[in-house]
Amino acid sequence: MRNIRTCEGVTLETGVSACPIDFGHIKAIILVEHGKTLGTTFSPGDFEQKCHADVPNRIYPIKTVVEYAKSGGEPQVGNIGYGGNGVTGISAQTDTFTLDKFYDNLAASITKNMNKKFDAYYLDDNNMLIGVNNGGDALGGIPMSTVYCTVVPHPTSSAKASMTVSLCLEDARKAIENFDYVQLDFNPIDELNGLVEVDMIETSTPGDWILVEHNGGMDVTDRYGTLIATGATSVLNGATACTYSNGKLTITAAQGSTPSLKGASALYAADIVGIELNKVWKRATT
Amino acid sequence: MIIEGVTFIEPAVKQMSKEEFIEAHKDAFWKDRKPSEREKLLSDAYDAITGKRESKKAKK
Repeated sequence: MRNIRTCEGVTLETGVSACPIDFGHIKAIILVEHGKTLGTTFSPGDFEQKCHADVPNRIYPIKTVVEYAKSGGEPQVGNIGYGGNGVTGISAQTDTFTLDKFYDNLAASITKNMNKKFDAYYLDDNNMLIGVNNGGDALGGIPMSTVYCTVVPHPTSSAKASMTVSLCLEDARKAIENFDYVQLDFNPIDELNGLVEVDMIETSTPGDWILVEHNGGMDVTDRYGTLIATGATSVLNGATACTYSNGKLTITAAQGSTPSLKGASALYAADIVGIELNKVWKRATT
Repeated sequence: MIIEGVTFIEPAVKQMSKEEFIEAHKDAFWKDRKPSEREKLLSDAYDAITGKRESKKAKK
């Protein structure tokens, strides 16, 4: 018997929900690796934990959004001959979000990753998590072909430094057709803090280390030193002992090793939040 | 194990001999104390981490 086809009819449903939603302003964007989701259950603390998860299960929040502008995503019409107009498709869509200020770390990181595909969720000020229905239990992220930022890194005569983040939808039509959302019963905005790259730098005293933000060079040793020292067993690689005093981490290296911080998930388990090791700068020995 | 404010990473310490352990740490920590005192502290720390102190007591 030959292969047959069935007609997947599309009925026009013009009703409204029993509880129509008033969507609020978008406050944050949550990027996930393409094909990953935020899961099916949401509890306070989950988002912070996911921000520190090992890649590819990590989420990448971007906040605080203060303005939204949509570009594209409009039906395109055209006609043939003297026929009437017909829809030929929906134009490519870019969602552009203005952040509350210019963040150099964020701008650098987004730009490094702007050729990478992510899926995006939007969080509005009613704690509504917006994405797409992929047919599974979990709300899916909206697939993005690219995410990039546009920065004004210096103030002008009339405006302070600013930046926008633009998310280019992979398929604007599918995003509309599969638009979906989940109402959270808590506000996760304070948990949505991305990671900052830090470098471990050995000082002029061998064995003494400081932690410095990779972009901008902010010394953050005093913020994390005590936690790293007390949790050394679970947060350091290549070390035999560690202590913290006066803004310096004193670390003894294991034989043939260079000390380094473990991954963000291990740091998070030791209550060290918001950082991830970028590079270790060991003092040159002569 | 945290001893006198210094966190020793037990799995790494257990891979060292006592001499290696003392040599590696004697100039790193407790610099306000005399070298002999530091070595004594490190010796005790090594015994505590490796459990040798307990085993000696058990033998007695």
